[in-house]
Amino acid sequence: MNTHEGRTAWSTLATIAWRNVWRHGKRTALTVITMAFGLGLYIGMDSILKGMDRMGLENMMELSDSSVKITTRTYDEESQSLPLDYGIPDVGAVEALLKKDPRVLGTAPRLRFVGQLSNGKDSLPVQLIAIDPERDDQVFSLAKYRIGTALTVHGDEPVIMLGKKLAAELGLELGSWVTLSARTRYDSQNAQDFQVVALLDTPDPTINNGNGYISFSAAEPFLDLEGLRTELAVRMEKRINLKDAMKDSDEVAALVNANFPELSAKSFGEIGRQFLELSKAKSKGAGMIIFIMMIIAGVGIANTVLMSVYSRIREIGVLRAFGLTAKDIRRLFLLEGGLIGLVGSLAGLLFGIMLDAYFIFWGMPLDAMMGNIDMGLPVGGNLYGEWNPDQMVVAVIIGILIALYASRSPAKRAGKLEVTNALRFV
Amino acid sequence: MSAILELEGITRIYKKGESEVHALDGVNLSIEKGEFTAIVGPSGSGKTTLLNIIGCLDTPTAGIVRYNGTPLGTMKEDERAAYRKKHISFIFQSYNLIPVLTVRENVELPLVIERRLSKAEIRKKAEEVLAAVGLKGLEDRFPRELSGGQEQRVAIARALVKDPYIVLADEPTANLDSHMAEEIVDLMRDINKKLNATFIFSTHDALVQHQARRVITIRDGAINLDERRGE
Repeated sequence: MNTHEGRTAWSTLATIAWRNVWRHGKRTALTVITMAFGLGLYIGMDSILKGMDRMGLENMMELSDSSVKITTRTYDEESQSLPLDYGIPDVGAVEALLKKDPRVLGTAPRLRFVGQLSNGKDSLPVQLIAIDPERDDQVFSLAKYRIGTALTVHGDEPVIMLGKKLAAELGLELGSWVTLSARTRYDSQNAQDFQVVALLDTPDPTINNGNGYISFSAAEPFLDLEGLRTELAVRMEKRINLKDAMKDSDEVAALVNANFPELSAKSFGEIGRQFLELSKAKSKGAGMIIFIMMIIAGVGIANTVLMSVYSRIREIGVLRAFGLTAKDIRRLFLLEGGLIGLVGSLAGLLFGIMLDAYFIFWGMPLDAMMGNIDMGLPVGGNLYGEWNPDQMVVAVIIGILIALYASRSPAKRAGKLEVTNALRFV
Repeated sequence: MSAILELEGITRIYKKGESEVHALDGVNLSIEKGEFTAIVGPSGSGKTTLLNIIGCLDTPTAGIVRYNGTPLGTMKEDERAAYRKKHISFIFQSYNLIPVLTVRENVELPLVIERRLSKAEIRKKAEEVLAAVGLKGLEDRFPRELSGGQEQRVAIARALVKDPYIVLADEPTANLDSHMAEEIVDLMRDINKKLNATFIFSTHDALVQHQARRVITIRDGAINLDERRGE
């Protein structure tokens, strides 16, 4: 037997399989639709979860934590309580080291503290951040989402920038006055009125719902800081690929840690680890749902192939009588199942690409969908998906493998049929 | 003439629960090349079992089957499938064409399974045989678009396309009216003469029996009568 002859036989078997797949069009279409829906959803969900990862990390980098966040080791250990203590001893020396790295574009000191905001009637606990407004704008992109005027415009005046939703909760608008009370560095209680000069409407709901910003010039006397700086934020060169950006940040963080053993420098990848782990858990959850859908599709394929076997018992007998072996018959029905899987997977791929395109070009309006529900994730606004061709290929292969696996048992049954019984079958 | 097929002491016993059914009981038979043989007998007499054993579809409980002197008893299932593929063809009562294949594809099927010829050779052979059974012009139709007689002609073409040692036909005219049945038997007889193809067929039909050159009557699993007739 040469290759050409072998191909002739296979092409005829493939013809028989393909035409039989569509002989009961409705049954096949139903299975294909279930499979396409499951796979398409998986591809779309993967795209949105990938987009969520990117958005979360980018938001951390651009809005809340920067590419590398430097604190002292002691502050890092106590960071949950945002202590007004354990400041960076020599910020200048750290900045001098960072300036030598061309990937570092800027640095900005920050200080976080807990306070209570009151409109005279209601009050809310908030996380406040003291910033150097000019330098902060070189590191963070908050200015892009600012409504109102920059803190720099107001010099030493007692002004505050608030998350938009936080302000709305307290019924505050631009120009409103709010009372901020907080413990000073020396543990005495202080209160002062601040005028709201800017509101932040960012893609990070944590900022919108609970953050306030004042300048160091206002914070110094209010909190008795005496030059205390607990945090140094570092902006790195922008990279298209998130992995490259992570690598750069990891390297700079390692450089700081090596040169200043008393400091703790963390890259955004390390800070976002918890978020990524949560995201992975979500991925697994989504994967489970899709897996269940694929099992349903698999059962559908097994059922379709089994019904095909039962409706073609005499045909099996004829093929065996003309010399096909039990193995050939098994292959024929495996091929049928595989073809259903291939069609279902390709339809799923098409559906997935359409979903991806929608998520990538139009995005998913998270705020509109989630309302005021805070997921505790640094993602919000319009969430955009990402292309993930590797995952698409994996999805198609998985679809075909599931179809082949599901067809195994009915194909085996077809191969086991006795020729004489099959030919007698009415 | 030398025997193309020899059966010696063929017995086939089926087990049905505790009891045993003797479908064939010590059948001895010799068929020569080019014979046109009818196997007749009442229902349950063992005609189909005999054809199945001759066609390597079933194995005897006892006895020897020889094709051109080669005993088939020791062959494994795959070897028997290979033997069927090369040397034996079947015509069935219900035609049993593959519904998703066209007339041409149905006829080509045994050659495609045999994998001996190229695609072009297969196509040529199929067209020749279809012309021989009077189906020229219907090559691209599907079985559902044919009459019963036309379907059986396709089945005959399919059986003849690979030049088999033996064509076995189990009640080939049972589903046809008498006119069509006569036409089909005439066709088989014609091909038998022209190509010297060996035909063995089972039948209940007196008209069909009348056309046979040899009639073997089987009763209770044993050959009761073996008549040879002249032209």
